[in-house]
Amino acid sequence: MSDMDLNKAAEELATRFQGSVATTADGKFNVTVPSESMTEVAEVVRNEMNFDLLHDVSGLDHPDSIEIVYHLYRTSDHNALVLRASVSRDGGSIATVTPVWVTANWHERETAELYGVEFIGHPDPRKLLLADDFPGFPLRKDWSHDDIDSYLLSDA
Amino acid sequence: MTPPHISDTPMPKVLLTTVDNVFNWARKSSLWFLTFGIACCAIELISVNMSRYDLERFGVIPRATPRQADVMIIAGNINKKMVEVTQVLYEQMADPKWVIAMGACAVSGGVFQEGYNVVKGADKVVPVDIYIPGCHPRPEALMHGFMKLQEKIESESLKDRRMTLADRRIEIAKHV
Repeated sequence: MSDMDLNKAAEELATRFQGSVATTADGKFNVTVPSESMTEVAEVVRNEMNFDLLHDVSGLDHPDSIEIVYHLYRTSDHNALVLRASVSRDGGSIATVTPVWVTANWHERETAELYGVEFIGHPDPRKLLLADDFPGFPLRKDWSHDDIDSYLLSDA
Repeated sequence: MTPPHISDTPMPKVLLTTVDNVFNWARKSSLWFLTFGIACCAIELISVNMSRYDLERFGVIPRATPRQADVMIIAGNINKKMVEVTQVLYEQMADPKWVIAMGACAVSGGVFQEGYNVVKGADKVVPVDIYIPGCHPRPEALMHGFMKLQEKIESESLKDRRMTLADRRIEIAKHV
């Protein structure tokens, strides 16, 4: 599939789910979709558009929302696609894509512990690397270091 | 190797020295360290044990269990989850025991000091005897650290009360 076809597919995806398409400087198509339809979007992207590899799930902290970014790859023709979905900073949640891409399991756990987003339906919603009682979400811009020393040494 | 400060007396086959001298000589000459490489400094730790630097000629050999170790080399950052692990390993070591903080991370947190999960120096967690700066320190620096530790051991006395981890916790609590 050529870039033109990929562009068309991205546009179709955006139209179908009331989203939007943007192109980044490295030529990747970024499709922003509503967070409520993430389950269906993931199934369409995996099964119809054949993006079989999920590289990464990352997060972005905006002043009024947390953006979850899914970096996808299609091994058949080496094309990449980026899915973006915004959730609320205040107890935001989004459906897990673990049933579609198994590799999302740990990526989502890490995103959840660092940005404070709940992935609904996740098979194992524990924290991945941080301690269970870690205070706050350290990759949010308003997270403060101030009291972290006393926490880190709290049972030392 | 001859123990230092042994007096030659007129009486044959009798050597006079102090208990401290004999004990310290024995202790400093067989510093077995715990194999506990928690970050990239462990690469230098491996290197220093291999044939080029051959730390074994100073009686320094790696042990795979804290029960047999005298020295703990903290070769990297300590984060929240490692605090407890490090302290359990430290307490599992039999007295007398010493701790070497190897590299910038173990000394102060290093370049990761501002990280959300990084304890700013191993001395916040266990009592550290020797600090070796560098990122990473070269094998020669680690060897120098061991020499300095040997000097420190020579100056110790059996009469000295060793600092327990409980004492250390009280000290740490004052700083936090």
